[in-house]
Amino acid sequence: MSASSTSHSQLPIKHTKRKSFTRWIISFPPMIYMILFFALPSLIMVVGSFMIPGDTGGLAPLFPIAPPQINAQDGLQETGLTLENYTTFFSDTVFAWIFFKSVAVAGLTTFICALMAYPVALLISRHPKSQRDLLLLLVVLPFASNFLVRVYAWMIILGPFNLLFTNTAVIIALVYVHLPFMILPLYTNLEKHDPALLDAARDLGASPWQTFWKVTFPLSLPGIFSGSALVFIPVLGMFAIPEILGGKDSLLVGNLIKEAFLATRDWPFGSMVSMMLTLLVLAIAGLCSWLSNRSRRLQMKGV
Amino acid sequence: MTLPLLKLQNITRRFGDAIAVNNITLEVHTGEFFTLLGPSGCGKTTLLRMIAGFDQPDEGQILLDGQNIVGLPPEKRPFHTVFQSYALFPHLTVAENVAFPLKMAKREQAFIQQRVKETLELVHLEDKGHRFPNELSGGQCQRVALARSLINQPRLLLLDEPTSALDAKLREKLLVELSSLQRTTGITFIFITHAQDEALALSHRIAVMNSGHVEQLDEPSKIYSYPKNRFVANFIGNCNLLEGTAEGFNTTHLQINIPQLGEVRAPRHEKKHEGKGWLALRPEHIAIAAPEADLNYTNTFHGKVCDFLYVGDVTTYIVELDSGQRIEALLANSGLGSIRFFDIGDHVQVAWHADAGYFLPDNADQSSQASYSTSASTPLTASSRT
Repeated sequence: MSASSTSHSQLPIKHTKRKSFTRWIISFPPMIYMILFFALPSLIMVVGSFMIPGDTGGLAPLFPIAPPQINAQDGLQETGLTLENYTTFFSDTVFAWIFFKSVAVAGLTTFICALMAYPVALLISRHPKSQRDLLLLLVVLPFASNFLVRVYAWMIILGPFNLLFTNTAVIIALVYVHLPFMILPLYTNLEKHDPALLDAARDLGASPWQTFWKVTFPLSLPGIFSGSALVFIPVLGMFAIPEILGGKDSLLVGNLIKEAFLATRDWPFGSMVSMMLTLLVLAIAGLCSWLSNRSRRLQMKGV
Repeated sequence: MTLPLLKLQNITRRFGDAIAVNNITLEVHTGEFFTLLGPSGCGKTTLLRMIAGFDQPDEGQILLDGQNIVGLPPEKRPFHTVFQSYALFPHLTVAENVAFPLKMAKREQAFIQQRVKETLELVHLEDKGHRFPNELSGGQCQRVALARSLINQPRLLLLDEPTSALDAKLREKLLVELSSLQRTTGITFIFITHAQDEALALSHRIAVMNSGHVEQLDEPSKIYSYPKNRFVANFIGNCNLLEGTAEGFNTTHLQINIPQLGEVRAPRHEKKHEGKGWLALRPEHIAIAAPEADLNYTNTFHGKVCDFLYVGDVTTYIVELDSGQRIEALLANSGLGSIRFFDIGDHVQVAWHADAGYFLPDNADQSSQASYSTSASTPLTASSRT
């Protein structure tokens, strides 16, 4: 820049500086919140999963605090870090079985949710704009009553059918609770579709059925993916529904974690299971994005 | 006479109380470039949607080779549409988009690949087959949409304002391309537009539509030179309209009395012309000159320049006559250099030949909302009327 323009160039620089400063100020409170209540607890959980349970629950300290007690028959409180929680997990197949079953239940729930949500979302998105808000309100209306009340209501409904305390009951309730989380992202996606695309498909020789499978469905995949994430992940951690409506063999990962923290008070073990769950979810999410990237690449190759 | 490819017979379409298309009857012949021209809301898009099969008429018949196709779904009609918004499938590549109609028709893979290659070459996009629509410019998208509609060789190609989303330069390029595509493929085109210059430049025949009915159906030059009523005169090109009364005639000319202005002579096109009406005069038929010049025309009047529009090749002068009427006159800037002939406030005389103009009797005038048009005529119009 020439010398004459330097005085002018100061203004925009100052301006952008102020702008980025404003951004900082605005994002500061939520960032602090996230650090304090998400990043820090997660870190505590990572460390906790390598620790030893305290004598009366909770976590044992990392270092001996008081000078060793002479109370010999009680033994000394163990301190420090250990891999024992993880070795316990991998040495018994029951944990792998619970994980496998949880993934299967969550997968089945997600699949049923997708099947049931699709027609609803499609129907709402094809309604006149003025009616859509009312229909969406109906979708989220169940949230107006308490979650536990709604789950207990299923006990009354399912009782006469001899379905209570079975896996079927658990899946029915899981689908019921999570259906809106599938409908809403799917609707958001379907609503954005250009209606001209449907006209174009029909015009170019596609039947209504072909139009759905060649145009509407492929375009709605992102909606299905985000809806699936919103259903699959919470179901993996769900413990209330299996506990209330499930039988003895309906224990899921969520119940395992809840038991470890509240019943056996083995915090390190609970942290470890929680860590494994997080890793599993991350692995599944990674696999999904890899698969969708690959399918897009394959699509680009073919005519 | 041979059977028309497409015949619309007494087509009417209502939406509630509103009549979108009102008793339209017209024929489109094989190999024709047919244009439906009209302002927005005139019913041309509704008519197109009924031809394509997206909508069904309340009354009337749509005949394809003499067979009524009302009620036939769009996928069963041998017509393809180029949509205003392109409507390319965003999840498919250019090649997949273009292949779509052939895939739906269940043609074999080798044939599809061959046709896709040929068709992409036809629209000069042979190197873009692997791209996705969002990686293309607006003009390229439009050509993909064209290729996709042409690949299965439809009996009829419907174009719904295909140029409305393009800038002026691209628009002109696409129009030239459309014209040559129509000639090379021999496919019948029905073109929908609100732009009179596009209609004049491309069409074999134009149906000028207004509030649900056809005002005039004819060749472009006929429509331009002999508009049937005030609406057509105003909508197609620029037009001066002077209200007056035809008071007498001889074998070739009419004597028209225009209030305040006086007597003017205009050509006589029909046997009988009497009574009130409007004299339509194209700006390019009106000469403008300095007050002292000897123009030697039958109809000569004096006035003052009150505005002008310089568009490069021509300048439109708006002259207020001493009698109060305003007249638009077109002057070609054929002189070398940047000469401007007149300025605002200059006294001038305007004149036109007794053979110029066209008298529109009031009884031929169905639309009363026609008013003074000030839209500038574009170079495209200018070149197409030669």
